[in-house]
Amino acid sequence: MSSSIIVLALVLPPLIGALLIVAFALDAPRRAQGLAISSCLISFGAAVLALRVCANGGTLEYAYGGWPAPFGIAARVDGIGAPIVAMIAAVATAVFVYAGRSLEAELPRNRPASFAMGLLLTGALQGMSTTADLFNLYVFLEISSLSAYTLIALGGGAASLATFRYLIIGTVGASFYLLGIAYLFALTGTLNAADVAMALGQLELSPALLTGMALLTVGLGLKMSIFPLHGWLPDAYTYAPSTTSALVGGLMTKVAALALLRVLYGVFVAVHGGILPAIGDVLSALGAVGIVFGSVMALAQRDLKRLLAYSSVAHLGMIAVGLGLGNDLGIQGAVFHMLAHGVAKATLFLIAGGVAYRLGSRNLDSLAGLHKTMPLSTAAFVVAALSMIGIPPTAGFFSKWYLILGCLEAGRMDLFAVIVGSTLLTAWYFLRLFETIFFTKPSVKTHREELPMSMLAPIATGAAAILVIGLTNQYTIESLIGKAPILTALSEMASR
Amino acid sequence: MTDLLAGRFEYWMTTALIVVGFYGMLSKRNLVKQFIGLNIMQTAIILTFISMSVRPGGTVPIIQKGVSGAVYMSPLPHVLMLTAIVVMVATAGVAFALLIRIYRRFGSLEEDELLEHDR
Repeated sequence: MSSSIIVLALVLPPLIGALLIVAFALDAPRRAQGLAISSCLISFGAAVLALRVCANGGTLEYAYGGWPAPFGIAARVDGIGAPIVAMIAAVATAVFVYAGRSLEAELPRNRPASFAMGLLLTGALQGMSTTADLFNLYVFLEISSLSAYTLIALGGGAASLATFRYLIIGTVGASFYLLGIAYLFALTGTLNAADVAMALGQLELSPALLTGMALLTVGLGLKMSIFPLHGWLPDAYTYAPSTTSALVGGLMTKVAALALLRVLYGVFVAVHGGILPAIGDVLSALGAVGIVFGSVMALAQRDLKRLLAYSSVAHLGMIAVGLGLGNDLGIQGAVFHMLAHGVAKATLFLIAGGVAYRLGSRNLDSLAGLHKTMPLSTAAFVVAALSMIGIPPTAGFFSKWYLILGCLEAGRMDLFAVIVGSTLLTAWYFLRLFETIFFTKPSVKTHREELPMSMLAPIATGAAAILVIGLTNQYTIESLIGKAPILTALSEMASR
Repeated sequence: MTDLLAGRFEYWMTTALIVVGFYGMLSKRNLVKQFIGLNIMQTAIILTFISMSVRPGGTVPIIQKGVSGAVYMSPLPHVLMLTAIVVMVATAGVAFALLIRIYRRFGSLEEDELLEHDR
């Protein structure tokens, strides 16, 4: 009973909040913001409860509408899902607090609608992270994508072109995923993830099964923007309003990565014939190329948001490497990196929005002397950047640490070299930013002009969260992520 | 695909449609035509699902008193595809809204001309 309430309280409040805004607050931005923040807080409260239940291998199960699996749609939160839903709710809350002032400057007309769309996105991401049904995942995937398209398109003229390209690529990804489900459904006759896995365990490897697996992997890979499927990402993130960049850039690709993790290690793991390690090898190879490509492209950028977008490509590559390794250290590292990178990237995009809000430009040269004009934001920027590079005790260090341990355990020295090398590249482009901020003389006389409190508080909370996630890494990895059913099943298989 | 697709004409047709849609989406330089290609592909996937539900000699899956041993069509793909069609329509709505905005801003929907604006 109580577990069903927790799952419902995770997913429903943002969705209901979105409807309430459309019904009652379309001409009242403040009321819309209040609704958005309060429904995300309810969701966050439920996520905290879920974290407590899921510690040490617990799970939350819920059958939507009381129809039990495998016939009904099942929802399930475990040690991997609980930290992710907590991150989604927390980042969304922070973004909506920040959005009050930021949207006032960027989108004076469409504020309530953009809160409604942001809530729809949040609710859909919560649904994606909790569902245990392959088709339900598709529906939530498309709700989140459609609301992301509208949010990005609010950025104006160039944004609508970038959004259209994203829409085409994103819909292709979703269509591939749907077609993949068609193959699996034809073979197994069911759509519940655990049920499909059980049925696949009885099947011989067939071309139809291989096609289905390939389609699902490529479809989710497009949504997650693994190299070379990342083409839509830089433009979409750059032209979007800054709150959207934080929400979409921080969360969406990470949740797609979580969906890929569940499909690979919750469903495909049952297939005989060593196909999963083969998919894993391709994934980690593409991830490695993406790490190098994203880092090098980030070095070449002059626009702060575009730099962050390319760095996202690199870090999603890192998650792909972890997923591809397929040992429990690699997967733990990948999930922890979803958390670390999600929070750090959302914080960085919020700071980039703050810089544009105060200085009116996102060009890297305009950052000169930022520590004099916006000292607190600069401090948060340094913390988030250190996490991206991977300096202890920030969260980014520990996720890289587990990924590196995973590479060593799998004996993949090449991937090890790429991850360590990428740290140097990341350090290169962030230290160059630090140099501009701290040592370049600004061209115009500057005076202290910190962001308003409602924008600064979310940024500071983000920076604090990066440190807290880093310092509590042992608990998160050992009691939550490491005890999730997917990982315990994997280590049982390894010990057999 | 031999065992699954042998003698199953409808799978070849839907696969061909998917390829046609995908080709149109990649090869056309006009944004509306790209979207039409995407739409053909989505429709073909829906047909794939629906064709799975067919049973030879099957009837509508409604249980009636006094009728036993009837062969029913599988209702599940139909229900799933109702949802997928809703998703498709919503995507089309967002896409056309975007196309209108792109046209108002750039005065064109041809990829080549839009690329020149980018520079």
